[in-house]
Amino acid sequence: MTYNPYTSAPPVKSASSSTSATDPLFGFLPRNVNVKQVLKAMDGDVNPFTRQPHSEQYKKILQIRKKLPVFAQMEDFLKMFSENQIIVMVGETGSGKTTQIPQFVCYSDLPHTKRKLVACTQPRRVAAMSVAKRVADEMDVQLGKQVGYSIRFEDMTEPGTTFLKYMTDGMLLREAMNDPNLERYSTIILDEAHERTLATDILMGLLKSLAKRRPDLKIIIMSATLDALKFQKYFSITENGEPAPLFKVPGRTHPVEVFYTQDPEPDYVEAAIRTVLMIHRAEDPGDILLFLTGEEEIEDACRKIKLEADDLMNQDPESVGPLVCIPLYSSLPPQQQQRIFDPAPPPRVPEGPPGRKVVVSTNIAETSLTIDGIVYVVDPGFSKQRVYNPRIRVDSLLVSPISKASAQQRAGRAGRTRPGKCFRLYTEKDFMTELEEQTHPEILRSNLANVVLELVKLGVKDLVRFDYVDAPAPETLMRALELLNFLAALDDDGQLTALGSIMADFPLDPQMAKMLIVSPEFRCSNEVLTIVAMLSVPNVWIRPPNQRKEADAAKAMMSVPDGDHLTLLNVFNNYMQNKHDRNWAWNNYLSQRALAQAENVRAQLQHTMERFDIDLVSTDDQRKLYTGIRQALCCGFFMQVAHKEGEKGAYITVKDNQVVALHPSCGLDTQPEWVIYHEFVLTTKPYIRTVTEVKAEWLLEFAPQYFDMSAFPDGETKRALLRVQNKRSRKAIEGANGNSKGIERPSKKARK
Amino acid sequence: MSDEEDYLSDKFLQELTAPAAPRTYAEKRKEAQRLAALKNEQNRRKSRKQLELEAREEGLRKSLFERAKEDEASGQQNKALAMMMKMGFKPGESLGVKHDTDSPPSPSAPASAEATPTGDGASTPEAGASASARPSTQHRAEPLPLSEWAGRKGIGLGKRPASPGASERLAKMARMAADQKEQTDHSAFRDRARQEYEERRAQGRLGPAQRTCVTLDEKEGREFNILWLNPDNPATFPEGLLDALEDSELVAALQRRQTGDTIEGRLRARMQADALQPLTSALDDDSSSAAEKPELHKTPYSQEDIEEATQFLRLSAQDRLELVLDYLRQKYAYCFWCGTQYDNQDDLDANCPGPDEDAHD
Repeated sequence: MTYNPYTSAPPVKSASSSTSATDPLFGFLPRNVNVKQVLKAMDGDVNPFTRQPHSEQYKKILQIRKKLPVFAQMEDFLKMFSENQIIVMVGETGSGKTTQIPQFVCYSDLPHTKRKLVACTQPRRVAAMSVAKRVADEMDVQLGKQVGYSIRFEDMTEPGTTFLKYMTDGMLLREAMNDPNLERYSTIILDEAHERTLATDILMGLLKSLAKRRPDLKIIIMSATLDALKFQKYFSITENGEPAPLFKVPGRTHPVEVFYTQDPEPDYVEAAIRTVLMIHRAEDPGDILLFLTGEEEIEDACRKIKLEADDLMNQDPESVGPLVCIPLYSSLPPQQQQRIFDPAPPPRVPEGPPGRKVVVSTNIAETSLTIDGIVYVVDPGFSKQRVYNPRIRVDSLLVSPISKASAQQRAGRAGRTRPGKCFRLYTEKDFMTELEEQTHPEILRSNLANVVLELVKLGVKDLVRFDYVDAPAPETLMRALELLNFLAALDDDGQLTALGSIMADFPLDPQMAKMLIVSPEFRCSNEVLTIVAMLSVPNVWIRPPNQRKEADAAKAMMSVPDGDHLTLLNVFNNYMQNKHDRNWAWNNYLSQRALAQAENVRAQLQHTMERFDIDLVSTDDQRKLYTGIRQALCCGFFMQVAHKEGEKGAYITVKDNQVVALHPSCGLDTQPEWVIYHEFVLTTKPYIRTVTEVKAEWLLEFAPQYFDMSAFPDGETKRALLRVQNKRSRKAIEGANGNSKGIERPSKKARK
Repeated sequence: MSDEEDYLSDKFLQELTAPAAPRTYAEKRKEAQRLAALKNEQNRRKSRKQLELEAREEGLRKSLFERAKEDEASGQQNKALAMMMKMGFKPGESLGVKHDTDSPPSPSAPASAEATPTGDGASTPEAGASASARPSTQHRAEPLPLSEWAGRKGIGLGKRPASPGASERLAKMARMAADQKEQTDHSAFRDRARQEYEERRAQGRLGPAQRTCVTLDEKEGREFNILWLNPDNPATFPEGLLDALEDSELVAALQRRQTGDTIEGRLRARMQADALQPLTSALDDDSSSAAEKPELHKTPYSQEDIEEATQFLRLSAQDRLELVLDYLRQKYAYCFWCGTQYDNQDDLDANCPGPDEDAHD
């Protein structure tokens, strides 16, 4: 390599106050730092990055850090980091890789001396935030200064100061859009690569090609499972096709004994409850982790386990101890999620049988959250997976069998503190034959409209021969291109239009971006902005199991009969009006957290709108306003329209002819003929969610290409549209007073 | 109309205004058909779930490329597909970088694995390894299927699509077997005697009924049906099935029955069986059980078929007859007692006196 550390970056210049000899980083040559130097700097009294004395807390944490498995291998790591451009790293959860490796990189890479950053991506927002906080503490700096994080709608960094940035993978992808060479970064670490999120997959493709263009960029791919060979092969960028080097850190795990059932279980929930109680009665102390699929199932199981366990304890207080059951799923508020870290309950009487904690969780406890003290894992073998199908444009959210890799990961959770046991509620034969090897990466399961727009903006011309780790189905790409073309973000040659370029800059689905951009024409951009913000945050409605009626009544009070989008607007406006009342959200069965988030998102999006000179306007006349909003909605979501056909509230999706029902959460009080929906999901039934009434005239007017009658599939929907079209043209003739000009194309007024 | 009806009542008048001509069979049939069609239509409208499912299956069946092709035929060009073609895509291919060096061996890998399916054990893991290694270089050309999982059934119970009706029939057989056991335990001598008589009678009826079943099934192109099996007639057992039956006691009983209970008969049966067995299994029992295992896998009968056959053969002749007749009625609208095949279920319901023999006197 022609790279010369002596010339490319000078040794650290000492700050004015200290002389070079006392500088903790004195003598550090970027990317050629050895372990002794680093340890000395870490043990020193002065923080090498802030020049402040180290706090007491720092020293305490350092002692804990030194016990992490990865710490013992710092020397090997620094050597490999100096010598290679790309490293694939494998370390099981608990090895400390997420917190330590980026710090090692900082000591070796010294990004602050070059005005560059080290980025470490995380698939989840919460992880990016919490890890950044932890690392800021470990490095004895303030969060948001030297160490920061950046997630969608929240940037906790200080330009010029921050040199270690934790961020979601999606954020890095967005940054790449405006900076395809990622010039700001000297090292990029992709963490949790085994989760194969959509953004991580795309980033891997981008970084692979970027590595050739930017030989000074270092790349580390970190993964928790042992399928590293795939990544090593993928990142073999040398001429001779040698796989990328592997750096392996052992986890701190204990053996886990796996048990299978003799026969398949007729009801896995019931079997899971039975197994938990069996463990509680017969096994040694130690907490239990049970994997189920969704909120309702989890809450239900918690109730049943609690009842049964109390019964057991009352019957036999001598041998059965108390049991607490803690649910865990992502829509749970953070305070309640924290409950999983509570210790198990004490014995009811001194010297009595010990208590036990049962955590009933979705698969978020599989990789992302670590709960200490778990000794028993109960695995029914299912999880809820989101799978997009391009043929009928549906997102299915169905319970499906997990993969073998997932099952292993789940079992591993039992061996974190001491040897554990895993109870699989299926037979060993079915484990071998029925389960897939790996969970399908997200890129195979997602709608790609967003990513395709980002890639096109990024300058990736050839989406067909892009170097995917796993290529998505061609039909999914076709659907994405089709949508972007109808939205006029891409022209017929697949080139990005000016509009598309603006759309890509909004961190939103293209339909929503489009709707926001056109909203000033309908004099309702203020309101559309609110709706878009509300659609970008988690569900705002709270529906506690024991107060469903009250919650539904509260929701009905807020509902606007014309559509759920308008209801969202109404909720947000009411929230803003009642901000002085701290209990308002709670009293109305709304999530304070989600609403606050919506407020934040709205402010962020407003910035973006201002950047592109998109006016924020409103109308006083509420009827006109609501009409305008619904028309703007048509401009973005015209490909998500359903037509009522037959009785009993059956709707048929336009062009795909899927029979769907309005979701029970829908607040429409009638069943209008035409509706626009935000999503089409397949759960227990095919449902359309977040639905608003629209008029066929608007569809014909604002989306003439999509509703082009000459290319429309025959059927009831087409006949209904034709009727409207004929009526419109008759009106136009009358309006034009027989003027032949009016007849020709009365309805076509393309709006782009 | 009941006898008590007053002869001056309106009902008589109504009757008179209606066309009084006696309805011919053809008319009756037409009427029945119309009613059936109506009922069908109503059913279709009722089941929303069915509609949803049909629409989904219809939508999922056809790829977007096929749809685009159809559109093209009607003069509509798909712009998205055109964009992809411009990028070098051909329908049917997958996306991603083409590894020119990798592609030739990958299609050959499955071929070689298929070429030696019954080879020695050593080749199987190798084939498995190459199969599992392939997806890493080969990308998907089709979207992931939507997996639909029924309720809360555990893993191992969800998939395995049983042939329609088979599971129901199995359940019915199990019930019959239970009833049968109860009856023989508690019945008195006279009942037992009558039972035996009926059993023999049913046995006699079973032969013709099964022959009808075979004829009708074969007309439909069906090659095998559990209901064709008759323990008294070895010809009804297709090759290999008897060996595939796992219940040795049952098999022995069958063979005994088929050959008569004489010593010569048994000997003949033994010889016949030996001739059909592979050589190694003739002598000692240990090796025979080991050798039979692979044999088992080779039989064209699924585990379900075999289980069903075993169940079926364990039943009494009356029960078997009932099953066969039920099948004929439901599948072919054929009534054994009338000796007639009706046009459809409605025709059968309207014109056959009933499913029992007694009704046909």
